[in-house]
This record gives sequence, structure tokens and C-alpha cells, in this order.
Amino acid sequence: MKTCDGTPAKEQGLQYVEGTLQEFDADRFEEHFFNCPFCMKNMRTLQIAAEEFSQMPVVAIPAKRRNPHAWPVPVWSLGAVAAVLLIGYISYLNFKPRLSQPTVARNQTTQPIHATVPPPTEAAPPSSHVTASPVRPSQLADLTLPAYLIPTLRGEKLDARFVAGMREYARRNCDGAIKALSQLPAEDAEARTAAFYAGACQMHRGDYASASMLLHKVADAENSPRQEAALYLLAQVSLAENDPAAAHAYLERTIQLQGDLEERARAEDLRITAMQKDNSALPDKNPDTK
Amino acid sequence: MEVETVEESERLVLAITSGDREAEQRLVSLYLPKVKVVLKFRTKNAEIAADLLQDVMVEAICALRNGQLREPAKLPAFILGIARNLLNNHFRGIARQPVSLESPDEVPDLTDATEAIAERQEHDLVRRAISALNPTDQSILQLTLAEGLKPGVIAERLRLNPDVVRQRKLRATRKLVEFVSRLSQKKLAAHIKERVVS
Repeated sequence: MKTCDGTPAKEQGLQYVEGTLQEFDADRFEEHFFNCPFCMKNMRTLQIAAEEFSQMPVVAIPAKRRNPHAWPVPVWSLGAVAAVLLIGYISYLNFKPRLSQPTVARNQTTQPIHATVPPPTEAAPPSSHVTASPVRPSQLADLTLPAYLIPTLRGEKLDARFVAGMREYARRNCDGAIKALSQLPAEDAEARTAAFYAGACQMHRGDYASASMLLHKVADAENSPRQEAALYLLAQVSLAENDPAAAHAYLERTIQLQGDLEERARAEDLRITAMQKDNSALPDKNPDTK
Repeated sequence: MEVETVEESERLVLAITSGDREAEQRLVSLYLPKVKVVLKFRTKNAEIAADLLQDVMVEAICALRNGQLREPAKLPAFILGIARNLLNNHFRGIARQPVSLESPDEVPDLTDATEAIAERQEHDLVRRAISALNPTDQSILQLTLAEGLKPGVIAERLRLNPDVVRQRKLRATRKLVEFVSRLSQKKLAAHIKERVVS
């Protein structure tokens, strides 16, 4: 069992403890961790944690939200309000120059989700033009491919089609990746991962209907580690389709998950709101943003 | 947690079959912690698990002494199989039959002192890892691991969205496991350094 780094225990350990794994899968996982020192160690940690928690007093204090209208308002909340206003203003200033950018993120070089850098901008058109033309939601869409980190070593062998697909994905060959990933059977353990990256590829290629269908498989699945990223990409697809309301809804769901993309989604949602305000302030002669 | 190779399994089985009592003790120190983990998870009761643990180890040693394992390389699966059989019998309410051992005195020491020390140290590490988690994550994990509640119920109790509970639960579990693993690696490195110096 030298080919495992403890990933199976990280992925299935909790389900095993909760008893939510199918009997067959639970048996298989048990056979694995019984013989794998890394997974056994992780399972022992979970077991000891359960024992420790059962000796602790229940600390299930509801995460109450303070009434925003309650008085006296604590000093820190005034600071927070000031910070929000400042961030809003800075976002607005950052957003303004984008009015002049016809560049759509689809054309930029690919970057991982967590390290996307705004694309190099072309020379700005005259300022009179900036104030006159409405910004299209698609200009806010970030259609870059999220990074894929190849898992170092796993207990189970990965399907060859999945490996081939992800290899193509790593080479930014979306056609090749989609072709290989779509051959993966739905019951494969990596089927959701495949759907996510195939969806990202379809989005990158501009096939938004297919992208949306694939990403929904991940976003609507419970306990999917890529649920948050899938919701974020669905927001980008909606923006690309000039549907800011849908984008806002997906971003809200992303924010609610309070994960790694929370701040990013929040900032993007602010930009959408600002764009909608700006567009509505434009004279009537301009066409609608759709 | 020691890594056991196929060759080591084979050596161990052959030694036990030929009456090597030290090999039996080695088998106990290798497998007792593993069987304990499985039994505790399956029974969710430390006392029943401790009872069954003794039975599993005794039955495994008896079977190995009698040469009942034909493929020594399959020692881990063999021991897990015995544990599962005894668990099934326990859940079916079948009274445990006395094992076919000549005399209980001939069983190796099943109270592994090293294992007890290691477990205490692990408890310390886990306590530190738990205290490093944020209070909401602690609550979610406590309600999941200790109370056995589902995300929907936890969400109601904590007034959170069930999806938030699911995500935070996964993330907190990973954090906990990684924190403990990091701390134990550091501890091991410090221990090795200490021994090299002395």
C-alpha cells in the first residue's frame, strides 16, 4: 500500500464514519484503510476526534445574526461599514475603466481560478465613448480555465480515460479533454470531477448550454468538493450569456457556501450591481444590455 | 502506524505457525490498533469494541497457530475477516463461543503499553487540532461525529444553510486531519533529531 497518500480517507472517511457510504463501498473502503497506514492514521484521527468531541460540552450555539438595527452599534461595526464603503468605492473606480475595454476574458491566457489576473487591456477609446455605451455583462465574465492539480498518488487507480482527459486539459486542449472526459461512465468515482472540467472547457470554448448542463451536475450534487467552483463558473456562464440576474443568483449561492471563492464572488457581485446601476443611468437611446 | 510488507506478513505467519511466541506479540502490536479502529467505528461503543478486540486477536492467533491461513500474504484480509465475523455474530445476538485456544494464559499480552502511550499522544494532538478550528466548525464536527446528526438537522440547530454545513464539515474534517498529520510529522522529526543528538 505504498501508492496512497491518505486521500481516500480524506474523501470517504467522513461518509464511512457517518454511515452514509453504501455497504459495498464501506466494506471496500474498510479493506483499504485497514491495510493502508496513511488512511488508517487519518481514520484514527477522526475516531479520536469523535471521542474528544463526545467528552466536550455541546457547543451548538446558533450562529445568530445580530440585528443590524440594534443600538448601541458597536464601534467595530462602524469600522466595518466604513470598510465596505471604501471597498465599494475602490471597486467602482476599478470597474469604471473596464467600460472602455472591449476585451472579453475568453481571449486571455488561461489562469487558475485562484490566480486570475485581469487581461491586458487595449488602448482605451475616447472618454466620450465610455460614458455613452452601456457595458455588457459578458464583458465581466471570467472564462478562464480553472487550474487542475493532478492528485499525487491515490489508493484507487484512475480510469485511463479520465487521466487522458485531464492530461489534455492540463495542455489547455479543450477539444481533446472534452472528448476523453465525456467517455467516462457516470458511475465512475471521478465522474463529477470530469463533468466539472469538461464544463469548464465548454465554457472556455463558448458552448454555454453544454457548459451549464455539465456544471449543474456538480453544483447540484451534495457533498461535492467542487460545488463552490461549479457555482462560480455557472455565474460566469450566465454573465457570458448576458444574464446578470442569473449570475447574481449563482454568485449568491457561491457566497453562501462561505468557501475559498466567497470574497471573489462578493466582489464580482458588487461589480454586476454597479454595472447595472451605471447602465440604467445611461440615456434611453442606448440599447438594452441584452 | 507501522507499514507492513507482504514479506513481513509471510514471515510473521510462518513464525507463529512454528510456535514463535515473540511473533505473536509482534502480530498483536501490529494489528491490535487497526482492529480496534474498525471495531470502534462499527460498534460505536468502546466497551463492546474492547471485548470484541480481545476475541478477534485470540481467534486470529489460534487460527494462525493451527496453520489455518493458507496464503500468508493475505494476513491483513484474514484478520479483518475474523473481526467482521465476530461483529456480525455480535449484531445477530449470537452468544460468543469460547475460542479454540488451549488456555487463555498462552495468549500474548493484549494490553499494548506502547499503543496506550501513542493513543494518549494522539489525543493531545487532536485536542490541539480541534482548538485550532473556528467555533462554528467545531460545533458542526461535534454534532456530526459525536452526536451523529445529519447536515439538515445541524443546519437547523446552527441556523445555517444545509449546503454551508456540508461544505464546512468537509473542510473542517480535512483541516483537522491535515493539522494532526503535520503536528505528528513535526513531532517525529524532533524525536529523530533528539535521538541523533543523544
